Amino acid sequence: MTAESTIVTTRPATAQAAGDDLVASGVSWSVDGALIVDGVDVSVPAGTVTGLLGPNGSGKSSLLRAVAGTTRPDTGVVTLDGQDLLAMRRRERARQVAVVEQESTADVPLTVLDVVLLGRTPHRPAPDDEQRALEALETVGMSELADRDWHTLSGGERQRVHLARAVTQQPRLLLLDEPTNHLDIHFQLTLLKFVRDLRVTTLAALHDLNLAAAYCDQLVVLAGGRVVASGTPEEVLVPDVVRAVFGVDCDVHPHPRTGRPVLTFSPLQG
Amino acid sequence: MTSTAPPLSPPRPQRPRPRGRRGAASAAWIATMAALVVVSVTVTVTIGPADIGALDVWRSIGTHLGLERLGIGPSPLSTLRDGIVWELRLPRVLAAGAVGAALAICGAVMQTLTRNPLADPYLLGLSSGASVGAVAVLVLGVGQLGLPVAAFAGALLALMITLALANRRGELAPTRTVLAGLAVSYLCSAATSFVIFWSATGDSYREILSWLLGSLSGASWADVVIVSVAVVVVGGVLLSRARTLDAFAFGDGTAATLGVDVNATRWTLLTLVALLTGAAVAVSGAIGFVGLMVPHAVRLVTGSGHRRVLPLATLTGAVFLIWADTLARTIFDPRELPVGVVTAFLGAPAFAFLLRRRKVGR
Repeated sequence: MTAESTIVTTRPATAQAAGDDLVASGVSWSVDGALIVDGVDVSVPAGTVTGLLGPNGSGKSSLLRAVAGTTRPDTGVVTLDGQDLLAMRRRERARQVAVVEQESTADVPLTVLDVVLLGRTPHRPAPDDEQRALEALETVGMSELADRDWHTLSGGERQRVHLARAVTQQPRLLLLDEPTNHLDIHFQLTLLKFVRDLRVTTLAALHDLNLAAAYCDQLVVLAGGRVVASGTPEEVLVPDVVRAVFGVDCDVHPHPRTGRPVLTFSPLQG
Repeated sequence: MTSTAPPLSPPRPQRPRPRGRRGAASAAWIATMAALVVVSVTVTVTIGPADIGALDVWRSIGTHLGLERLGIGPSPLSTLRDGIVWELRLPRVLAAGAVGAALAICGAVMQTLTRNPLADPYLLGLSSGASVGAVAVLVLGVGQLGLPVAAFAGALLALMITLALANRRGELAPTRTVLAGLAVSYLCSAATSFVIFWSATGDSYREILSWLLGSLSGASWADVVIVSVAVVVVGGVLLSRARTLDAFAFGDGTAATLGVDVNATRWTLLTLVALLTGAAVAVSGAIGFVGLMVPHAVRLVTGSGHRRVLPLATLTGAVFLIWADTLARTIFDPRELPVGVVTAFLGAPAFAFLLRRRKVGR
């Protein structure tokens, strides 16, 4: 599937009006001569969640960093609502794009509110910063813990605080790098539900194919730094793709409650 | 798409929130410490072999500042005793305060920028680098003004070597950073001792000790001015970057996504730290533990926001070193301990206590 057909076939009709589509095209990035991201085209329709799938080392994190502008890609263009993200000044870009990494920790004493307020860093200080931070905490169901020491939180609570920090940044694009790693099933589901309910254009690298199927509007599968499949979960999560990319057989069933695809895996037969 | 998530309607937090409570608490702390600086200066100036009371001290200071019309003064002291206050004790106490403030600021900023709770000008080699620069200039005999400049150059060079040794693929691993700092620190200390031993004619051991462990004896008004100006100017610039410093709490990656130019910021601010270290070391030699300990103690009280940490660390560092130096010059009077011995004796147990109370480092 070419980039053009991806963009055309997967964009819902409503996205045209909403605006903030992410379009990354021809993104390549190499380190020490090794090509990590190889001419990737990804588009995320406005206000939807696109999951980035692929085995370890397939270039998911590198692609996210390139889109976030933290590492400059060798080639490629990344636009948000038609604006060139990579040409922006850092601070301007940070007002548009928020990133939640997996497991980021601090050594210094911080309250939950301190962490959430970091999201205001790229913005001018304003009197309602604290109010905004508290509302973001409310959004992820953590407002009772605003004054708690960040170090006393569980892994799931920490990720929710990071998500609240990203929300406080008021981004038009949210980038998540395996945000559900090391979280128990309850926090995995609630975190992704919070993300989906935000209705912010989101590109999220995910490991768990079933979580991706349940919460993403679109999926993009990377292997060896290239896009090997993209489309809706139903289109992408088919046995052929899973076998080719992850090296396992799978059966696809409809979820009894949502109708979304559920995958069960088995080792390759012969 | 089958998503049926309801549109988000975040309920507004209704419960009244004690707004700015932390701000008020920090303001109270800052006021307390500022008062403590004034009290400490007044009290420690009265301490010494010549018995001079606090009131007389203030009258003497008032006379020198031309405040007699305000009723402060005239100095009731004899010329000799007045000289003890104005020419010996007051510059020394104020220099101690300024150096303590400088080192505390340096430690706080270095701990943030290297994300290393063990970072301070002493441990990462800046202080010893500054000592080498200062001693080299003294040997070459380039006057008073060259001293802080050379100390700054030495500190900056030591910083660059330490970070170059510690850097691996753009990451500063805490253990590597400390090991690199120790290596640079030992090398510079050896160089300092060697230069003094090779060049000195008289009491070289005392001089070596005063550069390696710090001493404020003989501090002059010029010293007070040099360090105070550095503290105000550099401290002011660093304070204006408080929000940027805060953004480093979760590491370079997060700081970058918050819009911070990580490398440019790190080098600019660390160069300022080297400048401040150079000014302090040129006056006092290398004094340990102040920069390491004071910021941690302050963070336990105010949290890590640099808008609160930097002012409070400045004042706390000043009070701490004023008293440490007063102890150093009085305990074994008429002999003086190097002030670094006192800061280590006071600092090490306090630091051990901090380590046990909270996992400062891992």
